[in-house]
Amino acid sequence: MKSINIRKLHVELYTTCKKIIIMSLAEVHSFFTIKYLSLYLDLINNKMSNQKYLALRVCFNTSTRFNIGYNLAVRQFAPTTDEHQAEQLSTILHEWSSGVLEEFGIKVMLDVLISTSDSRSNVKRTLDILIDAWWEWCISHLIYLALTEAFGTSIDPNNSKNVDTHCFFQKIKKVIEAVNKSEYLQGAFEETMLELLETYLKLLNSPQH
Amino acid sequence: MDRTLCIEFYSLIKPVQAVQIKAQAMQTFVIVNVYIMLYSLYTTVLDVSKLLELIILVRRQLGSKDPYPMSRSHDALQPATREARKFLGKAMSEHYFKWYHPILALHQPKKIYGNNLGQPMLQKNVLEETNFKFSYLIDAQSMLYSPMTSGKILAKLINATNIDRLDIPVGWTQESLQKQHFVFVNQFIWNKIRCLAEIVAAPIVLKKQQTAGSTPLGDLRDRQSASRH
Repeated sequence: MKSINIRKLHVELYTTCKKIIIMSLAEVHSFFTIKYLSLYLDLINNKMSNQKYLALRVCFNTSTRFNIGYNLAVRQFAPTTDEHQAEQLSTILHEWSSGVLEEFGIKVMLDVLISTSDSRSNVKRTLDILIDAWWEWCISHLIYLALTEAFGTSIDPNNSKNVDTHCFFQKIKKVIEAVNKSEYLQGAFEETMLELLETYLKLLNSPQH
Repeated sequence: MDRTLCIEFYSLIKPVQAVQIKAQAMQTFVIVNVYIMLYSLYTTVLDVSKLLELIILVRRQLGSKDPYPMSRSHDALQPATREARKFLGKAMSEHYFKWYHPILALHQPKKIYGNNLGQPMLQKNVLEETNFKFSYLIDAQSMLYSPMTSGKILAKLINATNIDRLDIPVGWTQESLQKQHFVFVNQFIWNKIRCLAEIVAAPIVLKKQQTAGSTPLGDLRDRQSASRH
């Protein structure tokens, strides 16, 4: 079997995808006389490596198609200490995201009409004030926050506003973990599920948010 | 006891989670569905004066042996569910439904809703972007959908808000505030849409004018208007 240079393949794939996206955006750009892009910006924290990533997605409509979306980047976000000291985080975020968008031929101030993100003040300031796009809080983030507050399921029990429910969910998590660890319990659970629901739904361990 | 609690919690969480899943759709236009689903949540699951519809997965198999009624009044729920339902309503109001509250949605509402010897008096007839704490983007996007242009859902959401009596400015009532807030938000949304439409229309109008000016009929019109002046 021929050995493949994975890194080279990734670069070639990236370049091809980038070309397609740039062509698609240029075609749309010539069609619109106003700002036309919807921008999604998210800062993702990797709990395992403790690294931050900047995720950018754009969406737009054309005269024939709706909701065309491209994930432009999920890039490691690691500003230097000097950058941190010199600027506010929102300003650094603005520079980084503008850099990614410019790579794809997007002029931030001319093309971005609306934006969505979580409620972090830095990200909000970047989109609402620095990019000057019509900003709205992401509904999914909003609902997640409301559910966490209502059921007290934040990871840190001290932050929990509903202690009783927090304990109840901890108990359920332990039961699920115990079932998943034991082959006997898994078998018994599967049998009961099939008897009652005629289908087997796998119990998933709770993800760490 | 725990099984009852599980069913009640599930019945609370599932409809909220359904909105969350819908909102994450990538390739389809879902904003109107999400908007209506949020309104429906506000008037059903989150409203403690309404029955909570119980979602029981094994209902079909258990048939008549099922001991649970299909829905329960708030008072008949487990204390933990009652508490969680109250918290959920509060959290959703704090993060989303506050947008429709005539007082909480504004920066310095007292400067807008003044009073003149006990008579309601507006200090401003049209509010600017800086007067609002929220952007109303979802409402604006929904209003571009023709059956919702009149802002019926927006009016219903605003009318469903409860205003603390102490927050009501002198000379105003809850109803008059809600009515005025609808006018303000509706005006703000349509002004924003109008501004965008004007930018789109400007080059089209200019192009039409230039084309009309270059045709023989256009030349004639130009000469006529020049002679009138």
